[in-house]
Amino acid sequence: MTELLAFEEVTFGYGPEARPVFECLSLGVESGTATAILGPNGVGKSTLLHLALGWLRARSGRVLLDGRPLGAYPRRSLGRSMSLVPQAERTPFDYSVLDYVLLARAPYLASLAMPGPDDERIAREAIEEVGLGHLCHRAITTLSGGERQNVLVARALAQQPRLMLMDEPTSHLDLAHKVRLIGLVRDRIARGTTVLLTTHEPDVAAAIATHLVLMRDGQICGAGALADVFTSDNLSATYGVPVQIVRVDGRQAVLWT
Amino acid sequence: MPASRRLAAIALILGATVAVSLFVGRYPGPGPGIISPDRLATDDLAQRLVFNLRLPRLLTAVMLGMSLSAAGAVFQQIFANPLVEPGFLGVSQGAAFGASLAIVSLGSAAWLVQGSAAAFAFAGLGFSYFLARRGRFGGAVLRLVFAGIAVSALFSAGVGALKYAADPLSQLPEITFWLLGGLASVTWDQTWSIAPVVVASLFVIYRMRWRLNLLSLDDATAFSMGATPGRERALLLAAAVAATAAVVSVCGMVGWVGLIVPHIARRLFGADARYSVPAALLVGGLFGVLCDDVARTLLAGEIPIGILTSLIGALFFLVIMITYGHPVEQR
Repeated sequence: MTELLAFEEVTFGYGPEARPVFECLSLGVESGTATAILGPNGVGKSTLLHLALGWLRARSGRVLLDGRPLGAYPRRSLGRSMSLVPQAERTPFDYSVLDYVLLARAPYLASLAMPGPDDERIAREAIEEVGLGHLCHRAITTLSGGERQNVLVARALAQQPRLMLMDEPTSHLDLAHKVRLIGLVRDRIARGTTVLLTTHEPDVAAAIATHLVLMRDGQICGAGALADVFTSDNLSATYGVPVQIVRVDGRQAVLWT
Repeated sequence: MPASRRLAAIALILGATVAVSLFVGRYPGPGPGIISPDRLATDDLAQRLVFNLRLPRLLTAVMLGMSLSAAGAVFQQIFANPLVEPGFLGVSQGAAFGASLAIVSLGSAAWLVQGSAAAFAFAGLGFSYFLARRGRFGGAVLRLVFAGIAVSALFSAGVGALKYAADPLSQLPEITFWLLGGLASVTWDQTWSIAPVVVASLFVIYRMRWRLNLLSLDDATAFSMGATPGRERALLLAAAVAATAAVVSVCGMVGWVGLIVPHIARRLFGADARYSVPAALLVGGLFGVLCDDVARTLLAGEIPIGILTSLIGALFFLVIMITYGHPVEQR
């Protein structure tokens, strides 16, 4: 197994004088795996994704994609390699769902080109895949929070990335949509896409991830294969609340006491 | 009808309106002020009037409407805010200050007023950008908005001071007239002096229009799709401001066009900038010509065009808001 994405002793803070969010953080994401970053609110999970994206730059240390620093890639090729599902996104304009998902084709187009029929086909397939085919021509401003989140996932799929970064992808979803999204992500992983996601829901992490990273106070306090890290003691320490893991029919769920 | 056909239809209407407008207007002699094609072929005065006065004025009116509308569309998309207009970021107030300053302290030669207005329009943008870079809070867009508001306020205070200091009999009317806008004094010289800047800027905006959709997203998201938000934003804003500064320097302050025409375009063609930007260009050009036609023909004297754009624009906008839907389904 090779590491698709690697953080090497990364220190990062917002602004030169600000207290660092992370210090000397190292982390590897192997190709074809799904890694969930689990931790309490405000611990820097989203910041970590933005560093992986190359949008934020480390104060020291390196972030590598396929062994090369992110800065060494041309913008467009980085856009073809990874996509981002942001936590929430607001736009005041009435884009149709299709127009919105088509934006994901940008890294495949020359700088002044417009998306063509092939791009439209890919976008439509991605919209079908998240189950919004019937809403293709609806204005995104009229969608519910859950539908919008699925549009963001469709957009990330239409970008056809090797690495998908997902920031709390289930935060607005009801149970049915959550189950559907989990199935979709697992299917993508089975087809070779690598996923790095943040979540504050341990159940979601347990259902999707093959690997787990526990974060607390700017530090990684546990990382490794799901089976090794997903324990009652580890989770209790991460969240600062005593929790218990129960196993039902081979599935794992977290109870708090 | 597909969007491209509808765009072509608006382009035809624009061309026809410009052609008809050439023949309409005040003209000494009998009749209701319409020069017949027969007379144009034989009458020397009519020829000079049409080709040396009306044609440059009409072309400038088209450029005025197109520039303000396209620039408005760019500003609204980039700031993801449908309430901004091209005068934002200190551009309009900078131009007003530059023109007033020239009128009060340099004399009122047209080229001085024009040059000073254009220079201060860019100074307004530059100052806003500089302040935004030095800002220590919020995101890049929020800082730009605040910097633009502050710079506009500074320049408008300056305009107030200049009006106060201006000679109330000679200079003040001229400042007031400039602030209301008008194309009465436009000549071929002025049309040619702004045409290259306007055409080049509008071409940049037209070719980059799909990228505007990307730039209306969060910077991090646009970045994740391979865009370079900072650089692309600066390029598009510079093009929008260059076109705006050029037309404002000749025509004075013309309000409302840049705010409402992009809305009208989006209501007719949907939010996707692939269609809404060309629509804004065409509707804006049409709007500019129609407003100028009214300005020069309705009364015996010229009506300042800024008054008309606000009046007609607001009414037109209300009608569009109430009646027309756009291609995207709403619930």
